[in-house]
Order: sequence, then structure tokens, then C-alpha cells
Amino acid sequence: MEKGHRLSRATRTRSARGRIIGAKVGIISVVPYAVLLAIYGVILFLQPKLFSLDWLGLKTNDAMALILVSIGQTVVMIQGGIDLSVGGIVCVTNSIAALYMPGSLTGILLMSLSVLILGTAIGLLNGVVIARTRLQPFIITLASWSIWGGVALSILPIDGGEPPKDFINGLLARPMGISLSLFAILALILVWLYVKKTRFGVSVYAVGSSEKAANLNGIGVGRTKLQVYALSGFLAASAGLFRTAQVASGSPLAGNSFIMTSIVAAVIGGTSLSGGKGGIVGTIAGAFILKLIADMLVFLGVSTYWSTLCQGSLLIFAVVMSSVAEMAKRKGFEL
Amino acid sequence: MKKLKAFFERNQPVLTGYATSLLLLVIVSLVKPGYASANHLRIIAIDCAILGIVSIGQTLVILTGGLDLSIPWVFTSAGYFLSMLSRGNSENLAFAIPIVLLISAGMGLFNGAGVAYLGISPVIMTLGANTVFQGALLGITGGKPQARLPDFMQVLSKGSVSGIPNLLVIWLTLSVAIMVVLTKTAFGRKIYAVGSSETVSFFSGIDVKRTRLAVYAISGLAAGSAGVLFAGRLGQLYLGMGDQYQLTTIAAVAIGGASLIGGKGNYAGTIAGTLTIVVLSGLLSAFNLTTSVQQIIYGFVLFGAVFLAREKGLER
Amino acid sequence: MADLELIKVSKSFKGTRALFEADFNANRGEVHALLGENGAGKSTLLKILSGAVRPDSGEIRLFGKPLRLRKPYDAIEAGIATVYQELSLIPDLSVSQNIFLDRNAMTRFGIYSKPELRKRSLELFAREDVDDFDPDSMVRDLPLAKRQVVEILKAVSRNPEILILDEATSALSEQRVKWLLNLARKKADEGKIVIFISHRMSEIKDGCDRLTIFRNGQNVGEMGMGECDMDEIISLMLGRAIAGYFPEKSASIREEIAFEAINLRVGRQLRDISLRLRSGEVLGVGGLAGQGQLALFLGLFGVYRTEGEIRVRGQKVRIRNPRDSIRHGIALVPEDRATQGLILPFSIAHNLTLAMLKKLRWGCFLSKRIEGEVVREFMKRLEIRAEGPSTIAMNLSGGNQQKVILAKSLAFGPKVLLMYDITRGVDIGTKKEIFNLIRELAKDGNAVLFYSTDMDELVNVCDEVLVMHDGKIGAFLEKDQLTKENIMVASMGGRSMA
Repeated sequence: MEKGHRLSRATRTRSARGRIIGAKVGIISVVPYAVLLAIYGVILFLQPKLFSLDWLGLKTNDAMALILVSIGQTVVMIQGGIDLSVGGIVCVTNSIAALYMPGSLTGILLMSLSVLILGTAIGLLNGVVIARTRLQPFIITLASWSIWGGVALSILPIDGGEPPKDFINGLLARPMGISLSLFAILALILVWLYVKKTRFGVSVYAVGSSEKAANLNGIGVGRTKLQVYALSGFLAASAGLFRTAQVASGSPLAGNSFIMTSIVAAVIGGTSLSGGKGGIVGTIAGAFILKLIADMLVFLGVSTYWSTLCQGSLLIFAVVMSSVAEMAKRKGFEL
Repeated sequence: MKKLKAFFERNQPVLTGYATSLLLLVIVSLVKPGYASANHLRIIAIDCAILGIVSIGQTLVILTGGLDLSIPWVFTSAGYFLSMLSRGNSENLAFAIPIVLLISAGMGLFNGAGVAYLGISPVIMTLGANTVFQGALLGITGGKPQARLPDFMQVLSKGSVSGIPNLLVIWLTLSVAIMVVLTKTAFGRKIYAVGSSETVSFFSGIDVKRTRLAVYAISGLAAGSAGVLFAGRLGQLYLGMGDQYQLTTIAAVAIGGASLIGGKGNYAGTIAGTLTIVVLSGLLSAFNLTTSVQQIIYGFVLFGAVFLAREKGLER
Repeated sequence: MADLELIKVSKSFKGTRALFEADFNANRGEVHALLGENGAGKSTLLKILSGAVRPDSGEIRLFGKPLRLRKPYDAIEAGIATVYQELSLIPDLSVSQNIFLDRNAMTRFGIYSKPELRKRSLELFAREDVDDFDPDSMVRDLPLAKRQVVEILKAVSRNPEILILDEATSALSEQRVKWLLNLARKKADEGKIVIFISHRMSEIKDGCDRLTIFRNGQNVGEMGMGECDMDEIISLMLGRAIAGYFPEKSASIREEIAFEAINLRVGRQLRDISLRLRSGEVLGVGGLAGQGQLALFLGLFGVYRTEGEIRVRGQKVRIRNPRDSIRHGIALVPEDRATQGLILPFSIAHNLTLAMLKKLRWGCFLSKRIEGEVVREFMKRLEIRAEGPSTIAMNLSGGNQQKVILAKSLAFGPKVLLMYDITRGVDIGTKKEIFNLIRELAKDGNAVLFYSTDMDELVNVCDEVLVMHDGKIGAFLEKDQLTKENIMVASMGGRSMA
């Protein structure tokens, strides 16, 4: 008979390779960070001068908007959904902020707050519709994306807008050479590690793993969905706000590229599209990977015409590796 | 009477789709008389045909629980490859067309291999493939303009047979074929089985991986065929020509009542969805609405159509 | 006035009447059994009590006070804990997270702390006499039998006033069943109300004080355990007399070895498994749950990789996947109806023919005529009760669903049948039909490998029984050595009595 702490052979089906590939050192999932380091290594090899805090700070600011959207997307994916409306939210918040942000400090704060509230409200609306109508998130957020993207186009038909300097400098600041964004990222990670263990966090995983079982256990499935999409909306709005500072202007189409890249960042980071598994720590690595790949190609001297192909291929490669890792972990048929 | 009621219940999403598109058409004709003229209807029919042919593949893929986001660049690549291989010469089409179709199917196989044999999520795989195909095409063409498409292609795509556009005929033939495959062949049965439950299908001796592979290959083939026909109709190529099909194919299938999880839906529904989308776009253009307002309305209508077509939820 | 009363409760689903003005009473200190065929309304009644389903009309009273249950949360708050037939565990959470999911097992800072959860789980395990679980293991990785125990522990951990066990024993081994019955008794003695649904008569006899019988959505009888005998109970349940629960075992074994496994290795669980199935034989597989039986069956059917030799009618064959098995005439009737056996949204006809699509070919198409013939034949032969071949599988009762799966396995004409726990959650009437079918199949020359956790079934339906223990074949029992006691002893690893 089996003793308490010894697991039966049936539960220990992982192969050695799988254990390494799927391993976690503390909270860091190994594979995405290993890949990230590898890419950085290649970049350093090609341009040794970039081994500087300055460049890293620049990169962090570069990736910040994507990271924010990807975090929201990750949480939605863990819950078993998907949020395509982030594209529209980023577009609309970016456009509004770039056009209308006043120069005074109170003005900046009020506008930022309003924009964040707008994004959260949009997300909440998405969540309400998804929770009440039982329609698939893909379609609802697709429609939402279309609507809010259209609103963005109405507000700001072509790129433009001039956000105030104070705002830009504030968000992109780099006290002691380390960008504010990096602190923000670390703060987000800490918050996540805490939230993961709260009832909300566990509910997100539970609903993503089995909505039916979660309901039977008294978990407010509808409420969890509301919260998750509202969060995604909030983060997308903050990304739009950040982008306003980052690019110092507004673009009504800017958000569209974030949709797929946020999903890919999450998947590279180990979050599963089917729900119940994943986390934002890996996603952050995924977002950096996507940003650094573009740079790496430039440094490799790849002509612009071929760079798209390289980016796509690298993407596929990363995803294949991730899938192979999953498969190695799950040897044998899962019942 | 009871049988009629049951028929309506079973096919509710599809019928709603047809009703919606009809309603939209009526609205437009009332506001803009002459809209529903024979000429204009012909144009609508052709747009439907192209979207409909591409959506054949998307329908099958979605039925198995997957998604094909690589359609835009399979579509565009096909047009470009045809131009490059035939070099404006109609005789070259004899080998150019089969080769292009083969390449398109091959692109689909690439997707299918990743999804079926490596277990990669379809969204990611096809998205990545889309970028790969785009990159490959950009690299090969170097952004240079291409030769005109051979005359035969243009005649085929723009011509009609006793008043009915060739493209419409092609589409209708393919539609019938697909519907037959889905309802009356083993392959069709397997598609629904795999989309409903991979485990049960596997236990029943169905080769799940091969079914998935086939379905993505067909999607590539469909996208490529549509791309070739579209290019023929346009007479020339431009790099963004496939972009509009990224989401419209999915929307068409979804409006038609298919479930994005797989196992539920049929091509008749996709036809309804196709009609709805094309009529809607036309309606919006007819009112001279700016793209931004069009987009907003498109979002609402998409939501509305899917909402109306939804299945009454399970009872508590 | 009883402590728990359900008064004139009615519920219909899409036109089918599940309950009609049904009454139910239970008191503190009792283990109260709820009996009835599948579709009699028992599950619906309990789902109403657990808040998962809202009644169309009727009243619930607990300790004299009316109770409004609008969702599962309300029931949990009212002190009602349910162990569901379809488990309600979250696969991607750990055992301890699942057990303490809905309550304030949180520290001051509002989080679930892993060490705290672990501590509480181990305390719970000790309290309830369970010693082979790791609180941090993922539920996804646990076999069905273990999941059921976690489900039970989860319900018990809330110290509920009412403990509902809806077929909680169906996946458990005999020893664990004893554990559960003890647990039920213990809770009842503490003054709780325990409601117990099971299809196993022995459990009901051993474990319960009172019983209520449901038929066609209504309460048709309530009595104390000693007050009437088994036959009367069964006839109340069925509305008719039932004779001869188990069929005659006719001598049907032939010389030919239909199926043979030699030195089989399955994954990492099983080693050196050799067994021999003769045509016309029903070979049982017994043993405590989780001793490798599932791996054996899935390995033989090709779902798991195997090493070693498999022979069908003397010919060596390579079985790499279920397709190969089906091609060689081997069929598996799987354990989990919903996720392995049936495609619930498919019709009966489509499910039935799923494994034999090749045989329906008419040119490139599927012949509706052949399909219709096959489906009609099997629906008749197995007495599948439904409106017609196009009825959706999801709407069938558990027993009928099992019959469709059986029909599907028989439809392509296999000679070897691997039946894994097929009577789980199936009502008594259907079980009897299945036993008859098995003996009939044996008489026709088929070979059946039959796994069941019910020792009565093994003894009465099978010709011989292999008992598995710890990944190996522990004992081989035949003729007069084939007794429940011997199976039990062999399950524990001992030698059987001569």
C-alpha cells in the first residue's frame, strides 16, 4: 500500500527531460527566460556596447506597453477566455490622451484617471456581456474591438496629438539609470504573487480549469469573468496611456498589433489558451522576447524585406519548443 | 406542424443569418432605391463568392475546434505566385494553376502539421504561419510590382454564364460539394467527431491527427483558390489584398451558428454569415459612412447577429 | 415533522418530468438511502437540495424553517454538502486547494497559504482515516477512484448538517466503500443527516437505517432497513417483480485462444503481465482500485504504449493505437461515458456507428440504408429505450447511454471485448440486461475481459477471475476457488484459501 508522502507510480509519469524543460526555479519558469537570455546574448555578441543599463532601460520602456496589455491578456486566458478588444482600448485611450491631455499637473492626473476608468468600464462591459449571454469571448471581444477601434478613428482620424512634456518625462523617467517601468514591472510581479493566492486569484484558475466545477463549488463564475475583463481593460488603458508618452503622439490604429502579440507573449510565457494554467511572470519574458527579436534581426543585418520572415519563423520556433516541452511533460495519454 | 417547428429549432442560427442578411438588403433598397439592381446584385454575389470560398476552409477548421488565421497571406501569396509563374501568359496557366494550388495546400499542411502533430495552439500556429508566409512573400518579391495576370484568368473571373457570374457558379458548386462532404461522408463525420471530442474519436479508432491535418490543408487550398480568382477579377495584385479576410471568415462562420469550440455548425450557416457580412459592408458604403462609423456599426451588427443566433442556454 | 422535508417538489426539463409533487423526509442521526432506477428522479432531488437546480414548485424545510436555494453557494451556506456523481473537482488545482476551496482557510492577509492548506489537509486526512494522499498533488494527475475520495473529503471538511452522497461509491474499491460507510455512520451518530444514493444493494443493506424509494418522479415508499426484504424493494423500484438478478453461467468456453498477452509492459506501471482469453470465456479482472487495471485495459486497447507480445487467435499483432485494435477485432467499452465513450451532442445513430465508418461505405459516401439497419438492429437487441435513432445521446439516462456505448463496441463485429467497469452508475434493471448480454456474447463464442469493482458481479458473471495487485497479477481464481473471500484476500496481496 502507498504511504502518505510517496506518490503512486501513476502520478509520476514525467520524463526526466520533461522535468527539466517544464521546471520552475522558484517563481521563474525556466524556458522563456532561458530563451530571453539567449537572444540577449546574441545581441550582446553583435553589439557589445549594448551591455548597458541605459539600453536596458530603453528596452524596458519600449516593451512596457506590450507588457501591460499582455498581463491583462494572461489573466483573461488563465480564466479560459480571450480579449481581442485590447486593440480597440489601446487605440481609443491613446488617441484621447494624445489629443486632450492638458499640461497642468492636475490636468494630467485627471486625464490619466479618466482614461483608466474608461478602459476599465469598457472591460467591465465586455465582461457583463460575456457573463450574461454565454456567447464566446472571442466573438464578443472581436465586436468590442471593432466598436472601440471605430470610436478611436472617429476621434483621431490620422496620427497626431501632442501630449504634454511633463507627462512624457514623468512616465519615461529613469531615476539612477533604471527606468520607472522596471520598478513598475517588479511591483506588478509582487502584486501578482499575492493576488494569485487570494480568493480572486484561485477563482480565476478554477473557472479556467473547469467552469462547471467552479460553479458547483460556489465560486461566482460570472463575477470572476467581470473582474478579469475589467482588469484587462484597465491594463490595456494603462498601456494606451504609456504609449502616449512613449511615442509622444496618438495613433488610432496603434492598438491593433497588440492583440496578437499579447496572446503570443502569454503563450511563450507558458500560459495555456485553454485556461487553468499559466502566469504573468513568463508572459513578461515573452513580451521582452518579442521586442528583442526585432532588434536582434536589425543587428544581424537582415534586410527589411526578409526580417518579417525571420520574425515569424522565430515565433514559430519558440512556440514549437514550448509545445514540445508540454508534450514531454505529459507523456502518455491524459484521461 | 411539429416537424416544421423542430426544423426551425434545429436550424435556428442558420435561418436567423439568412433572415438578417435579407432584412439588411431590404433596408438598403428602401433607403437607396436602385441598390438592389441586377448589376449591383451581381457585384454582391461575386464578393460573396470570394468570401464564401475562403470560408469553406475556415468552416472546416472551426468545426474541428481550430482556427485559421493564416488566410490573408495564403490568399495573397497565391495571387502573386500565379502571376510570377505564368508571367502574363495564358498558356502557362496550365501548369501555373496546379502548382499554385499545390503550394497553397502545402501551406495549409504546414499549419496542420504544427497543430495536429506538435499540439501547437491553432491561434498561435496559424498566426505565426501568416507572418512566415508574409515574410517569405516580401522577401521573394522584394516589394517589386508584378506582371499582370494572364487574360484567361481575368476572363474567367470576370465572365458570366447566361447572366450568372462564373465566380458565383464556382462557389455554388463548391458549396454543394462541401455540404455533401460534411453530411454524407466518413470524413465529414470524423470532422464533427474530432471537433466534439478528441478523446472519444481516438477511442473510436479515428485518426484524429490526420483529420486535423487534412482540414488545414483544405483551408490552405480554399484560401489559395480564392486568392487566385480574386486576383483574376481585379486584374492586378497588391500586398494588402488578403488582409480583409483575416476576421471576416471567422465572423462568417460564427454568424452562421458554428461554435468556436468545435463540433457544431455547418456550411449552410457559413453561407448565411457570408451574405450578412457582404450585404452589411455594402450597406455601410452605400450610406457613405466613414470607415470609423462603419467599423462601429460592424461591431454592433456582429454582436447582434451572434446574439440572435445563439442557442437557448441549458436550464438550471 | 421531520428535520429535513421536501414538500411537493416538481421539476421538468425540456418537457420531461423529472419530479412530480415529490415528498422526501429525513431526520438527524440517520443514514437515509434513496433508491430508484435511473431517471426515477433521485439525482434531480439531490441537485435541488444542493442548489444546482431550481425546482419549478414545492417547498424545502430544514429544522422547521423554509429554505430558499437559488445556487450552490446558498446550499453550502445552509450547511448542505454534496458529493456529486459527476465530480466537481478543479483539475488544475491541488488536492488541498480543492478541499478548502470555498471557505476561509485563509491567513490574515486574505490569501490561501500553501503550508496552512497542507496542514489542514493532513489534519483532515488523519481525522477521517485516510493515509495515501499528497495534499499538493494535482487533481488532474489522480485516477478516478482517488478523485472520488477527494470529493468526499471536501464535503466532509465543511462539517455539514446534511451530507449528500450521490453515487459516491461507484468508483471506489470494496475497502474504500467500507471506509465510506463507516464515515457515513460516524456523521450520523454525530447528529447529522446523511443521504445516500447507490446502486449496490450490499452497501445499502450494510450502511443505511432507512430508505425511500422513488419511481417515475415520485416517492413510492419509505421504510426502515429491516422492515422489508430485498425482492420487495426491487419490485417497488421497478414497479414489477424481478427474478434472477444474475444470469445462468452456461458452459461456453472453447479451446481456441482468442487473445493472449505475453510478458506485457505498460508504461511504468505494469510489468510481466501475461494473460490468456479463450473464445466463449468471460474472464474477470478484480482487485482494489488503482492496482493497474486501467493501465492494463488501455494498454491492451492501444491507448497506452506497450512492450511485449500480443496475439489475436494465435497471430502476433502490433497494436499501437485503438485503430489497430479495432482492425483486429478488439473492442473497448470504456469507464467514463461522457469523455471516453460517447459524443454527447451526437445522436444515438452517429455514436453507434462511429467505430465502424468503413463498413458503412457506399462509394465515397456513407450509406444511410446500412446505417439505419445497423442502428435499428442494435437498438432492438440491446433494448435501448429512446424516442428514435436520432435522439441526442446527452438526453439519455445513464443506463441507456451505457447501452449505446456497448452497441458501438459490438457494431463492428469484434471477437474480443474489453469491458472496463461498465456497470458504474447504471441502474439495476439495466445492469441485469448487461449481464445477460455478456453471457450471451460468451455463448456466441466471443471472449470478454471484464473488470468490475463489484465482487458479486465478478463471482456471478465471470468464469474465471484474475486479481491484480500492485501492478501484477496476484491470483487466478476459477471454479470453486472463485469466491468473494478469495478475491478479497488476493486483492490484499495474500494467497487464496484452498
